[in-house]
Amino acid sequence: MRTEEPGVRSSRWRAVETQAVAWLAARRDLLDPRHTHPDRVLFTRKALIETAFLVGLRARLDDAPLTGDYAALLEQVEEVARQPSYREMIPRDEAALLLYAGTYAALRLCGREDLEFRRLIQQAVDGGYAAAFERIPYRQLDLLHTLHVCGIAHDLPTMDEVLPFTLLCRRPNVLKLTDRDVYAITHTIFYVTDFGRREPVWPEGYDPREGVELVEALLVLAEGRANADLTGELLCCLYSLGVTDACTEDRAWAYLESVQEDSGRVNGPEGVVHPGIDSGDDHYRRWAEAYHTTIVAALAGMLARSTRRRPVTARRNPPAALRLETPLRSAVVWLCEASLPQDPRTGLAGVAAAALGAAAIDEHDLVQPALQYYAARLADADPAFWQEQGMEVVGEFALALRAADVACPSLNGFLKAAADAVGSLTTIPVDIADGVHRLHALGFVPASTAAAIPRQNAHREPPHYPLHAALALREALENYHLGQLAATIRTLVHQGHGPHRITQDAIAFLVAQQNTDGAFGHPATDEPTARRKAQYSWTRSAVTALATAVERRDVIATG
Amino acid sequence: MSCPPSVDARKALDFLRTSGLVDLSVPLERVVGQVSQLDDVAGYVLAWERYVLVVANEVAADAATPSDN
Repeated sequence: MRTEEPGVRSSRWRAVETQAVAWLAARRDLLDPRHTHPDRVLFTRKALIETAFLVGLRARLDDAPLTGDYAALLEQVEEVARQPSYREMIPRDEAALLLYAGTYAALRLCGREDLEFRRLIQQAVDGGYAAAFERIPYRQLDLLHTLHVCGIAHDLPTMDEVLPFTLLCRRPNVLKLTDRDVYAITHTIFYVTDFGRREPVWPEGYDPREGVELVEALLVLAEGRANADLTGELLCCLYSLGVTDACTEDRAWAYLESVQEDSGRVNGPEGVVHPGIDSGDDHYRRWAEAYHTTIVAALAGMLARSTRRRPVTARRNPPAALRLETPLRSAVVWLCEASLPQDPRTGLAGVAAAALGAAAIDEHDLVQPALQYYAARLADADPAFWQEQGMEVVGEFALALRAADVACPSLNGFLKAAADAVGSLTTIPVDIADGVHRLHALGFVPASTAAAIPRQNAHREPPHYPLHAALALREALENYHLGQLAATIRTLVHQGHGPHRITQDAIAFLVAQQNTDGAFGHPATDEPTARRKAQYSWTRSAVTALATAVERRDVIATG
Repeated sequence: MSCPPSVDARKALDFLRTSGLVDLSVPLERVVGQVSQLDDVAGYVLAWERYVLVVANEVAADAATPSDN
């Protein structure tokens, strides 16, 4: 919900841009490769073209003449570019054509045509290497976009022909993407949309709204990791795609505003600069760590106020959710069979999870033999056994026995004693609400006791995707911690976040860990006991998460 | 002020609080350390950003000592 008038918000974002450009302009001397330490020359050239691009885009997106700090930056770019030590690197360092051509593009866009600079670039492009060697797709798009804004003729495949090979168009799993992958996506969007000025020809079958969904999911992860650089780039992507979702936009801006320093500086992510590049020079290090993120923040402000962006793209409906019944069924069958030889201390949770899974797909018969077997084994179990298992496991087991009309005397006696203990309490803590509701469902406590505890509203969709949960999913994938993954999925589904792209990708990853026999997980060890133990644990956790997802119909494809 | 729960009631509370359907223990040692890191294996760097940062010193060193050719 917006709390400010649009004009107030846009003026605040304009202030972010203004302060960021002021900070950059005040340090423009650091953009001159002639005056930098030899170890920093390439880094400086990179910063120079990125700054030049910012200025060039300012000229393209805003008709007002360049003044003040933008003009100062342009003067610096022009001063460097006119030197032979810079422009003659084009024929000398053809592999790095993009390091130099972008500078020319900016000058041209700002009305500072330089025909000799242009001739050098055209000559390199017409030669047999600079534009010819193989680049990964988004860098090929970088080349094509740069040549476009340079106005340089070429006979290379078009951007739309390269686009199908990019990561953006392959529907990646957001939780697997590294920072480098995300930069490949953001830059692909910048180039193929020409920062919002061009409508790409998307590959056949690709819905560009998938890209919006991907960017929004990546924004959650970037903010969760406190990465202002990616947050800024992804916000620029939303503008480039023509999307201005108020909620996503406001959240990204609030984060950027919160991390911008009073000087206008926006610090980059940790480790962004090569450790040896600052040589102990704190002034340089602070600039080197922040210049790119500060440029990105300024670019976001520029795009936010641009009137030349394309019309807003409609958002698409929630993605088609995964079909989970078949993997869940085969996992339940495996879990039941694997439970029989287990020690009940570890096996009961598996049987209870299997029962939960079978109930979710309405195939109670699948667990009948395992339930009967465990009920018989545990008919005289000590109360300490049930105590150790906890209510979640015991409750599911008891509910399944009830549905299957199977008796377990020791369990009934234990639950009755637990209910009596609850009845003796003057107040019932909220954190045992689920357990008490289970006792009520089993008929051990009266409705009045259960009604006295406020139910948590599990179906209310919170406004924002929880950052900590997104990070937990990512960490679980990195560490192959399928139990943590399953637990987080389950919580997110309960909270109403099941249809979100991040949750769906987490579920897709989990399902992809299933073996053909129904078990979950790839232990990557040859030791049979360890394999069995790991898969029993993972399958029990996976079944629990998938059962929850199936029960919440909002994550099941309706078609 | 309510009385503290009896021992039996406390055990019941512990029991009712305990969840266990999902196993949060790590059943197997991490194996991700064995997973190949593309950059290490391939011996080259894919991204241009890395190119600029990683080879900066080498290129600068070459520039500082011009060849005799």
